[in-house]
Amino acid sequence: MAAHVGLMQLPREPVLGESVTESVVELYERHFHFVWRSLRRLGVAPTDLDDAVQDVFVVVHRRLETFEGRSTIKGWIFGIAIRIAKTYRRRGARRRLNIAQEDSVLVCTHGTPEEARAYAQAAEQVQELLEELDDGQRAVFVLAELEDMQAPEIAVVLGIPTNTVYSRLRLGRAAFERGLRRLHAKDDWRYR
Amino acid sequence: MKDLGSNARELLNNAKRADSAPDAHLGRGRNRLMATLAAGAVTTSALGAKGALLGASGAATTTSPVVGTATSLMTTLVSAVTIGLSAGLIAVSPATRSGEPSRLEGVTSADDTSANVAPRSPAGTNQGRAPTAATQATSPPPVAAPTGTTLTTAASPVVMTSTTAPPVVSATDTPTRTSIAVETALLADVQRALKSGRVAMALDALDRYTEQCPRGMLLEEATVSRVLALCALERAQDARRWADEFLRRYPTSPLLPRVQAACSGANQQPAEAAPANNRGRDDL
Repeated sequence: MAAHVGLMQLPREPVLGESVTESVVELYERHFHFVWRSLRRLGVAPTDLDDAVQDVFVVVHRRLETFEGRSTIKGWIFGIAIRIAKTYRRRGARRRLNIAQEDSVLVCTHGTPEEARAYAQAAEQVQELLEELDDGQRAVFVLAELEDMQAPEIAVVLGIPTNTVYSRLRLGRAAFERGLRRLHAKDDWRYR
Repeated sequence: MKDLGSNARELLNNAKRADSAPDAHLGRGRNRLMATLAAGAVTTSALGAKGALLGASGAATTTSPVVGTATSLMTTLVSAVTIGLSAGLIAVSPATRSGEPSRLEGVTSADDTSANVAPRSPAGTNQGRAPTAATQATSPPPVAAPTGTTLTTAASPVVMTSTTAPPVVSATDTPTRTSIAVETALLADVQRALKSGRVAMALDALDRYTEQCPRGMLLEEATVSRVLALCALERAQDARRWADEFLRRYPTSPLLPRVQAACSGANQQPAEAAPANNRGRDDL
């Protein structure tokens, strides 16, 4: 039964056991990349990403019956990812003292090798710039600018008023632009 | 609102095209997740048919709607219980459920990745918590819930399973690290105690949870359990205090109606609250 439900028709009270497992695995298949990149964008260290993704879907499994369809399931999962990312960031901050260099795990599956490199570099830069946003701005910015989500839905996902979404987006964009200008200034200086 | 400049926009567009995980991660993660969830499903059935338990507690609600609600909360948390059991506890205590040894062993070996999140408990680092937990879990309940006996009798097959299970050893590998596995393990203690009507023990377990996971992922669920437990002990004032705290922290929580229903049950005559509490269970 639950194996056939669509995006918005997940049962309020799924039968525990196989059907839930199936629908969670289905959700996993559908949203793995979204969760993975969202966690990354929310600041989870590359080395922690696999564990963090697991945690997100374990929580999804546990909470599936409380999903009320107020946002899309994708948005709902993002809400869970925010909380997971927070715990991993705390953990990562402590651990970074011991790990000098983290391997980048961003890969590119589009275009020529040159393009791939350029995209990967862009992703790294965005990552760096996102670090400058505070948590609230960051979540809004990621959803709006990188997931193309509209403000009203972001408001539902994050449980904040739509006006707050707009103001955080405005601040987030400004911070992002500032960071980008600084990055370019640094590059200009370096290549002068 | 001022839009992003063209440089920023281009950067974001390029980044979007690169930001995906290697497919190997997808497959590996799927297997791992399925192992975890399958383990959860096994332990779910080990904990007993949900319908049977809730049906039984439904009968008990004529005398105690509050405990009935506490039991229906179990529906929400039953997977947390099972995940906790599957993720770490089995590894911690090999002499596990008497009824399910072979299946659980299979699960443990299948889910090799659970070692990553499982609470590791070197003998010296438990800080005396494990013995405490053991004592509490095996000693008779300090305070019995008003209708604990009814529940226990009605749901005896299920409760037998959980009471014969080994005490949950709760430990974290470092004092600050919390993981879902540790949290679910601790909340499994709570649910076991609540289910068998040992409400005071459930509160002790909740204290352990908040002590070990002060910023836990499952704090929301833990707070609900606490409210329900306090209601069950007829500590209406404390329950209301925690319910207010819950409202303050999680104003949009889907669990909010349950919390509010529980507290109104504690404020009024228990019998009057029965219909509201029964409602959630009818469609299970």
